[in-house]
Amino acid sequence: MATVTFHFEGRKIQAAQGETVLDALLRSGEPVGHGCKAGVCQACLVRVQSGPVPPKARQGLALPVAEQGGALSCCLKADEALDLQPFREEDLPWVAAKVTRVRHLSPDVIEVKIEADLAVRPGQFLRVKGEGMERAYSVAETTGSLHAFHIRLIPGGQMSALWAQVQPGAALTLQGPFGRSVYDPAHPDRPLLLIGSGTGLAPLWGVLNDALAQGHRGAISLYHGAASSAGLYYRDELEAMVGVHYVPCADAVTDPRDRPGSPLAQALQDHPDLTGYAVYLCGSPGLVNAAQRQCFLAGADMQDIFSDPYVPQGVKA
Amino acid sequence: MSTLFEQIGGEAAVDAAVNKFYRRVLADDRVNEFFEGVDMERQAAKQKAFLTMVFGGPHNYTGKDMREGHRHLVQRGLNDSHFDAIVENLGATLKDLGVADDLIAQVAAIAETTRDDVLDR
Repeated sequence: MATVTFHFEGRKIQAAQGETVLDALLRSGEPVGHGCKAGVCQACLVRVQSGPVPPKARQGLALPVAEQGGALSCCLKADEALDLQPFREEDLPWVAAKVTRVRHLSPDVIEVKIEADLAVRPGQFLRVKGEGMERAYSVAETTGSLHAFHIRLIPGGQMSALWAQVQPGAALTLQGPFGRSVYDPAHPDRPLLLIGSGTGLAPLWGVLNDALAQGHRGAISLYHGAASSAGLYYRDELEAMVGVHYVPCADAVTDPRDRPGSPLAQALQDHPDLTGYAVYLCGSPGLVNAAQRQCFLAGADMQDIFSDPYVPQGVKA
Repeated sequence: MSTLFEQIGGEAAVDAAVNKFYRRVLADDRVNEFFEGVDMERQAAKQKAFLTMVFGGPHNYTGKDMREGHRHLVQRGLNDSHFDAIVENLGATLKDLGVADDLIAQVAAIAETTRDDVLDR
């Protein structure tokens, strides 16, 4: 019987003519995840370095996953030209980065601009290493090799000590990009609902600006919450933005423009039926988990709910 | 003669059904306590695999997976009444999608074959 050889993580894998990559990998004893073997469950994701990928092998994949070479091995036909790797985000290389600008957005939130040779989509996140510590931060803006983070300075926070003193020129290392919370230009007419708290605004700001830059036509609503009115940074910029319905929310309201309470409750009050919406969530795990469930029950579909739970130290869960 | 999976509408039907089915289950007070605190994205992927199977599609579901995946829920009281509720939600989802009654009966029959595995007996 004719056989085909392809490469997985540098190893040669023998397959029968017409066999799927997944079946060949499993027969060779490779520990590949799998479920339906029908292109549905996405458990058998691999990274294609080179070789032919039929459209079916990328059907339903999140945009950044497909862009990073992700493909479903149950839908790949074994082919001599295929060079594959496991799809493991932690394998991405660490790259050198330099701080180019630091400014305050509010009394306790700074924007740090960093130069690094990485292609990132606004809304994704990067891991940052500096002085022996590692944290993840969402990318609020990205232009070529310049990327901006929003960082809350937490008194006594380990990484905050580093950020409180950071100066342009400081060296860091970055890894990424990670995360699937990006604007998808394939759906320019659907309404977008963005809900976040604190510096959870960063990826939402990124998605929002990306949507506007790409000519999004559907309605865009942003609900941003903070403990107090003073914590609602970028207020003036968001109020001035054309085509964005901005609703500031605070637990302790001191500004008459703000609504009291949680941005999730306010958003669902204004948008009780989320059928056909894309929803972007970022903030504390409590907010994100509750919002994911409530937005799904309100009609948004799972694949259209994008969230990055955010732990106080800035570590992505 | 086309297969059940083809008659229902194949993968497109799975995609159409998974959100409606999961939403129904989460809104059903008879069973939603078993879904508290689960990773919703992972759960949705599992439900896709389950729907693919009960629609007569290609699958790799085994009784062993079913047993192990539900054993902790059986210990929390998962029983026939909950299984019945899930099958009822499955049927209602398909009815919503306009699937014919005889096909729904075939889907329910496939789901029925998993009952003893799910309930670990």
